[in-house]
Amino acid sequence: MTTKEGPFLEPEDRSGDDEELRALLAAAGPRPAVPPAELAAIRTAARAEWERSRQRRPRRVWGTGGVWRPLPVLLAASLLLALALGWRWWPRTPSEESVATVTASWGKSRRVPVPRADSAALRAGEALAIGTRLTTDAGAAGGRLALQLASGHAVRLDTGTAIRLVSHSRIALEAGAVYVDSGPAGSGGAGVEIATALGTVREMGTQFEVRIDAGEGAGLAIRVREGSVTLALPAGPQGVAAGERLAVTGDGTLARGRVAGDDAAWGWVLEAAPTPAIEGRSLRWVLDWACRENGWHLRFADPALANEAAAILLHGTLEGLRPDESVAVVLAGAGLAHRVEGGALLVDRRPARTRD
Amino acid sequence: MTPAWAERQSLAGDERALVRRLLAGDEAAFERFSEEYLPPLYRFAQRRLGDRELTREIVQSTLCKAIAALATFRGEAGLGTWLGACCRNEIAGHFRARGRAPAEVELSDEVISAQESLHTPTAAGPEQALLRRERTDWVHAALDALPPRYGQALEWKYLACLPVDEIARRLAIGPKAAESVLSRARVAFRAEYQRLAGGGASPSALASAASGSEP
Repeated sequence: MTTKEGPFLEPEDRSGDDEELRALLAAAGPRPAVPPAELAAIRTAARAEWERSRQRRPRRVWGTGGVWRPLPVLLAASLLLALALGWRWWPRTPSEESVATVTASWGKSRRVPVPRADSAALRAGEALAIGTRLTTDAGAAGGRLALQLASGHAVRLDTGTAIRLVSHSRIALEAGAVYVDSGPAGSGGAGVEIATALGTVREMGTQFEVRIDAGEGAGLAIRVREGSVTLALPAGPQGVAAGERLAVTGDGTLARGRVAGDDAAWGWVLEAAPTPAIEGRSLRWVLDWACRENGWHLRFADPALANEAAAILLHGTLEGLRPDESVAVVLAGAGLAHRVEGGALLVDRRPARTRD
Repeated sequence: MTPAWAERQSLAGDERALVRRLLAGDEAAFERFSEEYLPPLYRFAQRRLGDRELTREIVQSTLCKAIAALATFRGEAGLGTWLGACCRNEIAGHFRARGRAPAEVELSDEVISAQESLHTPTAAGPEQALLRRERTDWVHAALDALPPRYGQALEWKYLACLPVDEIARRLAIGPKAAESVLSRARVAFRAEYQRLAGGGASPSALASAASGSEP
């Protein structure tokens, strides 16, 4: 039987095609979803242009095939008026408002939501409300958690830690340790406060750790990697700057010392670092991220190499690698050499091979 | 008029109707346009650009210009094809303006193998990994090049393993019509995949390549 012209012409052939097609599609897997943030940004821009285009075109208010538009306009105006008068159309219980999201979890960690008494294991992407209490199991096989606060701060919990999310910008530390990173450019808004029984730590554009020391001479220890924090004590505030540590015992005794940004004491922070997606990111972005995590300064052998690093785009994933391991992988892929010296990551070109 | 030709005309008519509704300011039409055409367009741009921020920038400018020029869409080519052509122009314009194309680095296969060997005793060879990635790209690009419901129908049947009745329900058509859509979709996918893969590959070769074995 002959067929006429058209784009989908071939006679159907079912001889084994179904299984072969299934194998091909199964091997490839589903098409990747567009990252939600990208999708939202593009939709917003497209909608704005669509709205503009609609306004440029003459609108049909009456007539055959037209749609009467005043009703949506009146509703929109009513909503604006109501908001201007301060009415709340959707009453929200403050305790249900999300103030943080779980970024990653390792081992065992739990949530005790308020007001319910049941607890639940935590998963990445889970939203956490004000008043939520989080705990991580202690010990070598214990749990760690990484969170993103609504303020943009990244917070990590070490093993054996218990915290409560008091508000958007206040965390009560009951046991263990938290590490806070306000990001390379700072949070741009209110800083985070870590409240403890001995005092409250306020950050000012930082990476820092607050640890409660249990047992005899129990107290509080603060280490700052970048920026500075202030510890509010009954006797008066104490500032702690980058590279410093401050210990406070129960009787108020203070002890200060130094801690390098790449000191081994920050090791647990690397273990609890969420792996970023690097597909399409520049080499420079990944190196900046890795250096921030490892507490290194980034140095290039020459300015041209720094420019090249910003122009090199990466494809692949670093899933399963720590930030320090990731550096070796991405630089090997880009054909570059590196070494770590004196708290700095030094990136250089590979020496050219010479012939024998 | 064959059933295949009638189907194609129906799809073209459906897209022209969608564009008319967009021009008329139909909210549901905009939602459908965003859901069905935005993701394939994004993937189209991302495969060519790699960089996430540049992809977003190009797709945004493509969509804005396409929406402003919607009245010129005549339906001779599919709406997805038309958007793809607009996107190609945006990409070409971007690189003309910058005078160069970006350097791109794939984390080398040796590096990926080393990474995998940290966690598994044995790892796939680097060449096989590269071939698999290439074919994955071709499969996804071929699915994106089809009319949206063709690509969806194939994924529902072969990845989600949905029965035809469920596929029919999701497409809001009868079971016989769903069988027909699947049949057309298979044919269209084969043609598009062969075009992307360089032509001439037989189905058995396609499947063998997918599994990494020799045909």
